[in-house]
Amino acid sequence: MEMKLSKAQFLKGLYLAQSIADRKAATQVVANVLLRSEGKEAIVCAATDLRTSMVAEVAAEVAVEGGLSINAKHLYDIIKNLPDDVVHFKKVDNNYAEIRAGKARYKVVGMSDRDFPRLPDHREVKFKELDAQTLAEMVSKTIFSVSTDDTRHHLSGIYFECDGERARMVSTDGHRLSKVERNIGDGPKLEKGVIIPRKGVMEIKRLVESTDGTCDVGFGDGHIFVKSADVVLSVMLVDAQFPPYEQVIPSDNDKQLSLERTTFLESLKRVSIVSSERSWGIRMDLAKGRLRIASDNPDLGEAQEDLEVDYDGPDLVVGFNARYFIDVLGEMHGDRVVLELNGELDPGLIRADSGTDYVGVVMPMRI
Amino acid sequence: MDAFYASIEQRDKPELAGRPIVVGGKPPRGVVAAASYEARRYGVRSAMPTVRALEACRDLVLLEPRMSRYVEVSSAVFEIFRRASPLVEGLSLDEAFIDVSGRGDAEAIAHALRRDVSRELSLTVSVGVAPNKMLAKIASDVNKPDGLFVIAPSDVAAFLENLPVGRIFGVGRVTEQRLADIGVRTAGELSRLPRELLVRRFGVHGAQLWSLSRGDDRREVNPERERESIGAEQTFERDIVDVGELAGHVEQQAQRVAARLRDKGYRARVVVLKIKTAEHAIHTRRRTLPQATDEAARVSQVARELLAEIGTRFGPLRLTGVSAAGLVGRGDAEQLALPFDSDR
Repeated sequence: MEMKLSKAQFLKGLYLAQSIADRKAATQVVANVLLRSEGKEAIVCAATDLRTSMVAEVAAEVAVEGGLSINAKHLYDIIKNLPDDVVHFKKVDNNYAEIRAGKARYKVVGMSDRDFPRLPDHREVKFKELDAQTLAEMVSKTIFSVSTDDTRHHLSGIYFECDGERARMVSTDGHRLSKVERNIGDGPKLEKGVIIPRKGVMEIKRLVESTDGTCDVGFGDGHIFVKSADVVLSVMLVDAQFPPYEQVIPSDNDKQLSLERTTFLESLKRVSIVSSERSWGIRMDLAKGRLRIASDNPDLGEAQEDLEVDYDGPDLVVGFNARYFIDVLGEMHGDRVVLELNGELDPGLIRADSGTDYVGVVMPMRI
Repeated sequence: MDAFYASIEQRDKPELAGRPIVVGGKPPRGVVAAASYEARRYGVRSAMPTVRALEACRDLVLLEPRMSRYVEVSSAVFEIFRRASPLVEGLSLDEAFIDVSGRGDAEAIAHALRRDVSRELSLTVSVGVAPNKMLAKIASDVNKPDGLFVIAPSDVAAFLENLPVGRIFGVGRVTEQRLADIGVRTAGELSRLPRELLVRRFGVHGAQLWSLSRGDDRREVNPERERESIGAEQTFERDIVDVGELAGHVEQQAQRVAARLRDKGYRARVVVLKIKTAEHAIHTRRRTLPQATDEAARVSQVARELLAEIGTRFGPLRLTGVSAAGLVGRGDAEQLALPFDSDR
């Protein structure tokens, strides 16, 4: 294998590859990026952690066809720091790679391309277009409440439902839940929802964030495939049953108050500075005309702040993890939000005042 | 505890009883973590390179450490310690200070503790009884292994008179040598030096040495962490194999645990089931709950489920125990879980 290619283009492929390649994997080859010629004018860069995989096509002037795999992180670092934009790449004996650019010269250890794991095949997959920014936004709005507890398999990713016209993403860590819905026009149609694991969904977001216009999304063989420009990402879906989320989204919370989003967000941040680092516990004390947000921590002190609200119902004192509200509020964009509460042990709900396309459900803390 | 890791291995594997064994890392780089008393007779000691231990004793059996097992046994040991007093300050997995002041005759408590450890865990422990921490620790070494030594308040001065300074808390090799340089070899000799001289030579440390050499150690026993668990267990009069009968015992233990949780104002996030086989091997199973509880029905449901998981695989059992860990106090805020049916 011998070729000449542009540093900038090569880097784009390697950037995605090094983020997917699994440095901690037991088998060394999984930490590698596969480079293989695709005819005379392109090569593919591919990486996998055996769950999430990517294949990127990079333009190249291929002199001799062939392939090999190289540690993805090392190669990325090498290419990133090369002094010249034209990279000369050549496979030599024993799967070494010679890399030259300007006056810099490397000889890098590689492995045979035949040892690289087989990647999920997307040739049979039916792709549908989806607006890339919509997809990225939906992930942003739900990724933070995915469970980080590895033993709770069924909560370890974003639940994705789509009937072709309306797409929905839901995630929960068992203490809070976020749900976002968007109209997508003529998009992929799924018979039932799928769970996209956290790491894979992060890679999807990384890919589509930098995509203008649309990307292509398809499903097959237990994977979701996302295609954008010359890159195809495949993510193995979580084989588990997502919990029946509808049942924990309250629909009849009787204490509703409208708040200015940034004011609410800033107050929560201010008050939670003195809350316990671990629990982020704050108290919401609701009375006629005001919402008091307070926290006290025997180690640090106390804080409280009153917000004027248009509220005329019964009093309520309820504890919450401030972080859970801060996460959701940070993902909202409108001026005003609606907070819906019920009892001190019942889930609270936060949404934009314009509707329920995006809601956060937060379980209280017993105080 | 005496040769803790090694004793556990000898107990768990009866074929090792009476043989020289060490728990430690493999040669060439490994060191001995614990040596059985049989091995010590050959001069094998902890921290010695395993290679040298094997040279010293040809029949030596080298075992790789099973830390999780030692941790498990340690928690059983500490449960017995806590019967003597809630003021238990653990120094390591197998060593603790227990403040028994105001709890009756200390020597009788020590006897009971040694008896319980031996009877319930088939391990031996050496106990030192003394008016303070430093002396108690020194005393515990006097009749080791499987021994008891008491330093009554009236005996302190006599005990210290000929005690090598190296035994005083905080005196390492360097200090020992510096004291030897001024002709001090025993705690008694040290105590007769002017305090100012020690302060001049050793700074603050000198003042502390002087106090300790007179048996004056005011450090309190600190149960470093708050209560970690609440448990109830029972050794049966005969080993039980019938699952239904075992479930009945577990149920009762769970109810006692829940009652004590409510009593003390705790809720538990973790329920642990402990069993002991006819061969005295201890096994535990634990489950973390989505939501902390102090309800008897919930604790007992989880404990019985854990028992069902164990089933009859370990044969007849001599003991079952239920404990609640991950305790949340009444004052602590507790994050509630979303009410999914599937988690219930």
